Amino acid sequence: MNSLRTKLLVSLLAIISVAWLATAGFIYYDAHHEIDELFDAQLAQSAHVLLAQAGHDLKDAREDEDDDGIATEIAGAGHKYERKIAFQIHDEHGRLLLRSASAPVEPLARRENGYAEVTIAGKSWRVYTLKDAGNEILVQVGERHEVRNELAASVALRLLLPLGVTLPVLALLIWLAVGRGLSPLRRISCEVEQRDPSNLAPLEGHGVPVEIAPLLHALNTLLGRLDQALESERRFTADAAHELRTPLAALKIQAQVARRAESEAQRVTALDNLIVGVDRATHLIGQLLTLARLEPTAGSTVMMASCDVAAIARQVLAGLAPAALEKQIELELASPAAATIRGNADMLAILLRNLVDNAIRYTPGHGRVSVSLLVEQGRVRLEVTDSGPGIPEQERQRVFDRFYRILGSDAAGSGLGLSIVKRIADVHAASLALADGEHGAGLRVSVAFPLN
Amino acid sequence: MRLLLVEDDPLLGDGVRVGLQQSGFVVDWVKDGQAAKLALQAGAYALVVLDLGLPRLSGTDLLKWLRGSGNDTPVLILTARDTVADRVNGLDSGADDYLIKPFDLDELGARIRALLRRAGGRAAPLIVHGQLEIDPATRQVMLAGKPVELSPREYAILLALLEGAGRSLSREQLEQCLYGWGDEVESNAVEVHIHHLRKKLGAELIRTLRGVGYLVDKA
Repeated sequence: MNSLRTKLLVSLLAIISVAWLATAGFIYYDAHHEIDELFDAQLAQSAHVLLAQAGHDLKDAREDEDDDGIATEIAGAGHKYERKIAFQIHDEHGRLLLRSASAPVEPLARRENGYAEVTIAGKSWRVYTLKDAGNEILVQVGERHEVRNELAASVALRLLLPLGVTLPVLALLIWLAVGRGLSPLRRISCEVEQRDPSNLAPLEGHGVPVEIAPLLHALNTLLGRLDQALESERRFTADAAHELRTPLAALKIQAQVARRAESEAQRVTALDNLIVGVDRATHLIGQLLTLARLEPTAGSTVMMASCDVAAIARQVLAGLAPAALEKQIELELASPAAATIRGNADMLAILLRNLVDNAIRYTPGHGRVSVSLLVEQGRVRLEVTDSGPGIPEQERQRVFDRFYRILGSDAAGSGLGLSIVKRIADVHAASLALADGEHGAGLRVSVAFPLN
Repeated sequence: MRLLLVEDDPLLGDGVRVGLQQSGFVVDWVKDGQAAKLALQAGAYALVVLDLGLPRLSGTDLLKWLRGSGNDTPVLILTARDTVADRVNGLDSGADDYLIKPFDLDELGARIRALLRRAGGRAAPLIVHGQLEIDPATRQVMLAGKPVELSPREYAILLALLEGAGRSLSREQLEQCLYGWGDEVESNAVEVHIHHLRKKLGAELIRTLRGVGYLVDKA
């Protein structure tokens, strides 16, 4: 199980144990060193006492009796460390005069004053050798190393013992403390779990630790974005339903009015309206298909080539001139002979047609629609200006949304024209901007195409 | 019956207006929420047909304003939004009925009549007054079991008087039932229609209150 709590518990316990063991190790070596010095001093002192005491007695004894060459053995007193401490007294010829029961028969060490490390019968000994002034008697006091090791180890072990006892208690305390520390995370996950799926409001961030705050912040940002996406989706479906169903409703009602007509004139009007409605629905479907074709699909690339926007503009305006003429709208084009950019000619024609068609649609009769092309530094700027009602500042962002229509606009648009324009501008990496028209009235749409 | 139609789409609005006129209603048509508010402040309507996706003042806001100002005129909503949440929302904000686009003109008429009937406190679809029997759905008028031919305007005046039986209606109030905006009002038309009605249905049915108006007694 990948649990933060377990991981923290294990690693904290491991760190504590290692630290404790290191301390014990250090204490062992430190104690060992002190014990060595203490025991060495004791060894030396014992040798001196033996030499002073036993050396003198032995000399006397040797003068009294003939020396039989057999060393006297001193029986042990029965302490458990007795067998680990030993001494030998030799004469000037190296003969063993006296030894403790724990000492071997052969000399403990070489006949040199001072300390020596020796191994006797597989056991290691620390031996101190001392000769008297006349070099007649040599005392060797030995001690098994084991004693010192045991002592140092027992000091260090005494330190380790509490660790064994406290480790489970520590484990419990750490477990609880980590659990407490992680409680804000649990609270947040609880809050998320119990949430209504439609509730995308930010999570409560009060009293959250700094370590968790970034997570919460990221979560809230995500929730916000999700909410926005859902909201725009909801808006889209509502707008789409309205824009698609209203023309159908109009068709159905006009057809029923025609069937129930009380006079020939009423029937003709209703049928005329029906035809207008069908034309409107046809236009809407055409726009929908255009938008669908412009939708980026995986793996498809837009064919780009050198194309002359000025030529495309002339062609599109020629096509739309009758519509302008019908409304007595003055339609004009100000453009250089050629303005070449890299793009898709079909798409650019659709963009121009939508912009100019929109301008003619929304401009009242006897108005004015002007199209201008400017070759500027590094770009070609297309401007379509009309003398229509314009678009209020606060609506300018939303008019590019699919099916969005300015409320109160009487003209029968599809609500898709500017979405199409935006999509084509995006494909051409062109920037699109809406502004007031001439003298603050009407609308000016400008599209700036990069030259390369 | 004078209705207010609030619809921003020109083709749909025109169709509904003509269709409802064919069904014998007088229809005033406004194209945005603000105009609807003004119209509702200015005159009394028997019912409002309201599109929710309205310019200037949304249908929902208009509805809230209407109910908030204590006006209980029946409201029938026309909308393209068909989710349950939308329908619940529409009815909860004060609408009495709901039609989803595209809808049927006959169904719209039937629903309007049902709403008017309920608003008039009647449960039965037929209006019965003594020996007189009116079917608002077919606009058929029967007197003692025999059909009577009435012109649309005579019918409208009779219906208004019967709906308000026991209450007097002034000449102006009756004119309101006859003419929508832009219709030319003939100066003594109401008197002429009343005269015809008395000839066809008997002189006792409609009483004249001098200086006040006309009255049909409660059955």
